[in-house]
Parts: sequence; structure tokens; C-alpha cells
Amino acid sequence: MAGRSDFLVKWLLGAILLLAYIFLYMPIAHILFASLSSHPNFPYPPEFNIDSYVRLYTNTVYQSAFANSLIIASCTAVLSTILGFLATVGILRFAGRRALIYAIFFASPLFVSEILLGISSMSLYYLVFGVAGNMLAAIIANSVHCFSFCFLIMASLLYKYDWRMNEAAIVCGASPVRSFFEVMLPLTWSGILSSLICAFVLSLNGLDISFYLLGATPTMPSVAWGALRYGVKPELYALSSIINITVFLAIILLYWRIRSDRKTEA
Amino acid sequence: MTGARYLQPRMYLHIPTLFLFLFFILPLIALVILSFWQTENYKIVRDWTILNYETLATVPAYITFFFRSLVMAIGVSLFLVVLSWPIAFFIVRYGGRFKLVLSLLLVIPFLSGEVLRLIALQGMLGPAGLVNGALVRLGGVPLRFIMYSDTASFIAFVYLYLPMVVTTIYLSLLNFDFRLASAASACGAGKFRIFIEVIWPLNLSGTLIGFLLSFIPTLSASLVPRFLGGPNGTLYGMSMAQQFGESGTWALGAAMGVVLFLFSAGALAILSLGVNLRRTGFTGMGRQ
Amino acid sequence: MSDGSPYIRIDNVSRRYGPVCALEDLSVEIEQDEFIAILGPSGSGKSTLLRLIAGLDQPSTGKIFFKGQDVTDLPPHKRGIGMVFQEFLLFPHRTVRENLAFPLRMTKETPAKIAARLDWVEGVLSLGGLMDRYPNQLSGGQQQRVALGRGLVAHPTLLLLDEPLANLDRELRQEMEVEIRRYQKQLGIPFIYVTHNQEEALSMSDRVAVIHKGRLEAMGERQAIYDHPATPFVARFVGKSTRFDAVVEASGSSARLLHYNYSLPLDNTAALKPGAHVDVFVKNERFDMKPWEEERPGIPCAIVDVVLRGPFFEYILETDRRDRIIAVQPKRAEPIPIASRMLLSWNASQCHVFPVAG
Repeated sequence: MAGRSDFLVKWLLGAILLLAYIFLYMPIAHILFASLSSHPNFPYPPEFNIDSYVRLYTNTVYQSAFANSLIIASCTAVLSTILGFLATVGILRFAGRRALIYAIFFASPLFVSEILLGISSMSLYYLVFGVAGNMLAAIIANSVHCFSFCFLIMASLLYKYDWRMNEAAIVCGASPVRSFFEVMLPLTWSGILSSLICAFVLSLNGLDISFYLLGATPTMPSVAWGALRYGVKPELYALSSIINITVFLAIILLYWRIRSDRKTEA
Repeated sequence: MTGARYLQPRMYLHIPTLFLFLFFILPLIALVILSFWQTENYKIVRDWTILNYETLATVPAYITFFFRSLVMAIGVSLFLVVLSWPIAFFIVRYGGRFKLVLSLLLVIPFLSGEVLRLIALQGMLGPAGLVNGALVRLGGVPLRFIMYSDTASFIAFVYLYLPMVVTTIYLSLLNFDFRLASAASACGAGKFRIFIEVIWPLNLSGTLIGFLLSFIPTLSASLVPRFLGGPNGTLYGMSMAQQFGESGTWALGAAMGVVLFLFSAGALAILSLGVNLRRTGFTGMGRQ
Repeated sequence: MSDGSPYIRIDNVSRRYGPVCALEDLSVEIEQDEFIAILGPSGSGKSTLLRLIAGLDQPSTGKIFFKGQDVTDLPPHKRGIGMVFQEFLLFPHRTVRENLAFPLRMTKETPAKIAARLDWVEGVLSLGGLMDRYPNQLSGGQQQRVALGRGLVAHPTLLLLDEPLANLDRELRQEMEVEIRRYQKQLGIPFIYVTHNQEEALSMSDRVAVIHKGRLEAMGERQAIYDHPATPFVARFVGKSTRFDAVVEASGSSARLLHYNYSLPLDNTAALKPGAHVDVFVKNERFDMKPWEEERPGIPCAIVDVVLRGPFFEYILETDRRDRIIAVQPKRAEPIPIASRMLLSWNASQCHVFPVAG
């Protein structure tokens, strides 16, 4: 294995990775600068002007839309995490030979585009109830989409869990509920928490599903969409930046906790 | 002593299955039903007919949209696979302790959602945005083709789905036993042969999943072509969304949706049947 | 062997990782018809040495020669080697037949030649009926034979084996030990076999190289390594033995155990000074165990337990100082009863004496 060509390959690949990061983060950074600037279209050199944040704070349209989104997102996160957990445990523990079939079925919503989920759910509600939809319908439809993500996240993190731990707890006298909380949960909380965050953020920011099921009720993405059509206001940049930064921090925090957990485990 | 189990084992699988059936399968069935009806004056008329499908098959506009979407989807997905392999390979091979961070950093932008990311892209690529604004200030000429064009749509799709494809291939490579490459080397295989004979086949299923995870959303995209595609950039998904939006022709939209679904499912089936699981090293699920 | 230069030559090879030295100044020569075992505890550097020979790693200093040719800078796929791994590492996505054919395809052999070699390896390793299965459909022993076959199929210059029997169960291991040695003799190429199991090393090899902390402690015929260990480490690691503290007596020609009333004549070729501390190693099967009698020279002790090990007994004895000694004795109709008082002694020519370092 000659050293020099290895070296070259390594740096070439690293450069591609760096370009990918720049490509992905530049627009986000641009929006951040735009939200802090009095020239939103070309905010360079960067300023630190929090006017748009202040306006955001007093803008009721955005606020009620955001509140709706928060409600939908929290409920979706909880529902899809619970379902995802059941699915993961079911497959890893109880499915036996049909595990693969179940896994494909549970992952299938990922291969159906969001918009298809949105319009098909809308069709169902219309057919059955004669109504376009409501918050509950939006939550459920979002959960279908997020459930697959949660399932995959938890499956990949729970894959290595040794189920004999539960048996060890039970022979020590712990009831099944107790063994879940004392033994299984501490070892799998990272999967559950990641799944909650992921589902929350995906449904908070996802347009297609909620849009078709809520009609007039505004959600944050639909207000943003409206802005895309009629002209983007800087408050939108402010809101977007807040969300991006919060997501970023939440994930980094989660990562730190997982890292330090692993260290104490080992 | 045993008493009642907290939750019957079977229930673990039955509850999510029931949920998916009610809220995933049934809506799709509803869509199919709707596609065989009609809309008139913004009202749905329960008249069984295949008129919608005839429209789709004969009106040139829809056919154009579909093929344009198809070409775009294939192009974007191939490009993403080619782009993602080196990135994922680098993180797995040279990431060391930082593998998780590096891959997480790629995923985080994805969580911002389509709308916010498109707003950000517009800010970057728009006529008065970062790229063109900088060019103008430097005395250059703004690039027209990076906004409101197919190129812009292409860039946007790559931007939106890069995290997904990289993550899929990354996870596949993560589970790949690189010692098999050492074994192949000891058997006389040079770097190139090792890649073709060992690394690529054993990661083929991951690559295909990544391909599909960008192919299907791109095929059905509605926002990107609308806001970045320009006047000639209408794509299939966008047209479909319009049926449910402005034009109010739900039945036609439903038919478009069914076609889209059948096509996606077909692509999935073809690719997975073409892949012999055994030949990609799949030896079973989980360890009990 | 014909022109006097060795078949494989490893010349002053070292491997350093920053400040850590995995291998230091190792030199070994191997002839064409030899079965060499590289024996050492975990972390001794033996696997590192194997990887250097294979080309999967580069030495920091030193050179490696195959048949007189310098292969130090040659990548593994150009060295014409065969290798068998502990975890087998069969390609899971290929059938047995395809796994076996892989090295032949890499050297671009003709289909006829490939078919012929496949038939040969199928016969030699008894792989009939398994050729079209996938690795995960085979038992451990079958996978191991396929791994061996893949290493041998392309006429390699030598075969490298990295603890290949570690993942098999005991019975299978013993069978395979005999088989692998038989293949080596049949094929006439060197086998270099890395292991931490000294029984394996001694039963399969012609010569043994003992590696400890990156250095070559001893190299020689297997019987010589066992009977005449060159260093204290080899004495301790190869074979099971008991160590006694002793001191050289005034005459210089005998040593007295420190804690027991026992002297043994010393063949003082090392010219040890009187009063020098020495370690005396006695292999467990060299103990002479007689019923205790007053005035007889020896170490008095009592039998605490007896372990029946097939063809011999292991007596666990406890001395007055509460030291435990294991003495292996040939099997009799009845073991000597527990709590019997015994006297241990040994033939001075059958123990190993080394000065204590420092």
C-alpha cells in the first residue's frame, strides 16, 4: 500500500467533504446574515441588527402559525416515537423469520413522497368525513411519515442491544415495567430522544403533509410558503435562523450526552 | 407470579401495522377511488370513469411534465450517488473518532425542511442574492441560468437530498467489514479490483436505497419547480399539486398521484428484484 | 534450499507507531519446506509480524525477501502469498466456488486452469458438495477449510495463517492441527502460523519463534524450545512450569532454594557468582513425587486436590509455606489420596536456571 497515493486520495476526499459542508451550510449562513442585516438581499459585510427579530416577536400572524406548528410537531413526535419504538422492539424481538417483511413495510412510507401522503390522506378524509381535514388529521398523517424515520433511527441504535439484559433484570426480581425503566430505558434513551427530536423537527418544518390537511389553518411552513410566493420578509429569515440554530444546538447537545454516556459505559 | 404480561408480544407488531394500514394504506386506496371520479365546478362528482387517466395519457402537457420529471429525477439521483460515495467513504475510512460528528453535521441541514431551505437557496441564487450580488459587486455579470431554470431546479434537488443519500451510503459502509478488503488484497486483488469485486457489491443495497430516496422525492417535487424552475420548468409533482390547489380538479390530481405511486413502486420493485440479496452479502436480519 | 540462501528472509525488521514499538529488530530465516510457528502472548507483536510479511503493513525499518527478491515495498496483491484469517473473511456475497476462484481470477488464469485448480482444491480439502453454497450456509469447520483452500489455490510462495483455529471448538481444532501440518508437507511451501497457544505451536511446527514485547526471544526446533528454553520468558511461556527462588552457593557449583531445604547441582556455564539470585523453572511433568520420608532431600507438601486429565493426573500440592505446586504424573489405577504427605524433587539436568535480572 504505497503511502503517497493514499495520501493524495485522502486529501482529495477530504476536500470533497469540505465542499459538501460549504454547499450545505452557506445558504443557512446567508439567511442568518440576512436576518441580522438591514440589506436582506445582500447582507455583506455582515451586520448585527436585530430589528427583524423584534418585528418577528410582535408579528401575530407568524406567532399563531408557529404555535400551530409547535402543537402539531410535539404531538407527532410523541406519537411517531411510541409507534416507532413498538415497531423496533417488535421486529428485533418478536418477528422471527418475517422480520424483513415487517421492516420493509414499516419503512415503506419513506418511499412514498410526502406530497402523496398529503393528498391521499386528504382524499380519505374527504371521502369518509366530507371534510378537508383538521389538526388531528395533520398530526396523524405527519406521524405516518415520521414513524418511518423514528423506526429506522431506533432500529439502528437498538440493533446492538442485548435482550438478555431484560431477562437478567427479571431473575433479579424486577417486574417487566421495572426492568424497562431501570435497565432498558437508560441504555436506549439516546435512540428515543433522537427519534423525538427528529420527528419534531421534520413535522415542524414539513410543508406538504400539513398543508393539504389543514387548508386555511396556518402553519409555520405554509406562512413561509406564502412569503415565497408573495415576497420574503426579513422576519421570515429571523424565524428560519432561530429554528436552524435551535435544531443545531439540540443535536450537538444530544451528541455530547451520547458521547459522555459512552465514555462512562466503556 | 407471572400474572398479566405488560404488553402481549404480538401487539408490538400489530399496533404499528394497524396504524399504517389505517392511515397509510387506506388513504392510498382512497386516492385510487378518487381518481376514478370527476370534479366539476370545484365539487366532486361520484361518477365512475377513466377519463382522468385518458387525459393523462393523451394530453401532451402531462406527458411532457412526466418525462421531464423522470429525466430530472434520474439525473439528480445518479449525480447524488456519485457525489455521496466519496464523502461517505472518507468519513468511514478517515473519520476515526469523529465519524458521528461528521455525519451528523451533514444531516442537520436536512432537518430544516424543504421550505426554509428553498428560501435560503433563493437568497443565495436569486438575481439579487449572494452569488449574483457578489459577482456584480466584483464587476462581473450576473449568472442568469442559476435561477428560474432547470439548472436551478437541479441544484436545489441536490441541495435538498444530499444529506439523505450520504447518510444511507454512510450507514452501509459503516457496517461493511473492511477486513474483507485486506483478504481480497492477500488474494491478489489490486485497489481497483477490490472496489469492484468486494466493496461495491456488498454496498449495493445501500446505494440503491440512497438512489431511491432521492429519486422518488425528486420525481414528485412540487415546490422546487414552482419557485426555482422558471417558466419552462414545470414538473409533474408541481402540476399535480396545482390540481389540488388552484384548479380544484381533485380527481385529475388523484389520478396523477396514482400514476406517480405506481411508478415509484415499480421503480422500487425493479431495482430490488434486480438485486439478488445474497449477492450483496445479506446474511439475515438482526441477531437474536 | 538449493543455492544456500533462505527461501524467506526477514532482515532487522521493526515497526513503530510513534513512541510505541510493536516490533524491534527482528530477523528470521525460513526454508522452503518448513512449518514455522510464531508463538507469543497477546500484544507481543506476532500478528504485526505476519501483516508485515503479508504486505498489509510497512516496516519502519528493515527488509523482507522472498526467494532472494526484495518485497518490502511490494503491495500484498503482488507478493504471491496466501493468507488464512482467524475470522475466515470469506466473501459473503460469493459462493464457495467463487471464493476459491477469486485469487486465480486476479492472476488472470485461463478458465481451464481455474477449473483444474478448483478440482484440485476441492479434492485436497474435501469440499465436495459445498462448492455452490454461500459461506453463511457452512459450519465453522467447513468455512475454515474453504479459507484454507482460498489461500492455497493459486500456488502461493508461502501460506500465512493468523490463529485460524481460534474460532473452532476443541475437537475440531485437534483434527485440523494434524490436517494443516499434513497439507504443508504435501505442498512443500512454507507455512507461517501465528498463535498464542503453545500446544498448537509445538504440535504442528518444525521450528518455533517465540515473540515477546516485540522482540524475538528464541527461535529453534520445537523440541529444543521446549526442553532447553533460552530465556526466562520462554521457560515460563512454553510448557507449564513452576518457578523457585534460589541462590548460588559458595562452591559455585550448586544452587540452594531460598524457601525450602533443597539444593541442586548447577551446571555453571554462565559463570554465576556465589550469592547470585537465580530463578529455577521446573516443568510440571518433571517433578519426582515420592511419599514423604524424614531425612530425604526434597520439598515437603500435601496433596490438596487431584485433577484427572485423560492420560495423566494433575496433583495440586500445597507446601508448608502455603505455596501451590502442580505436579503432573502418569495415570495409575487409583490416584494418591488427598492429604497424603509427599516429597518433591527433580533431576537437576531437567530444570532451567536463569539469573534474576537487575
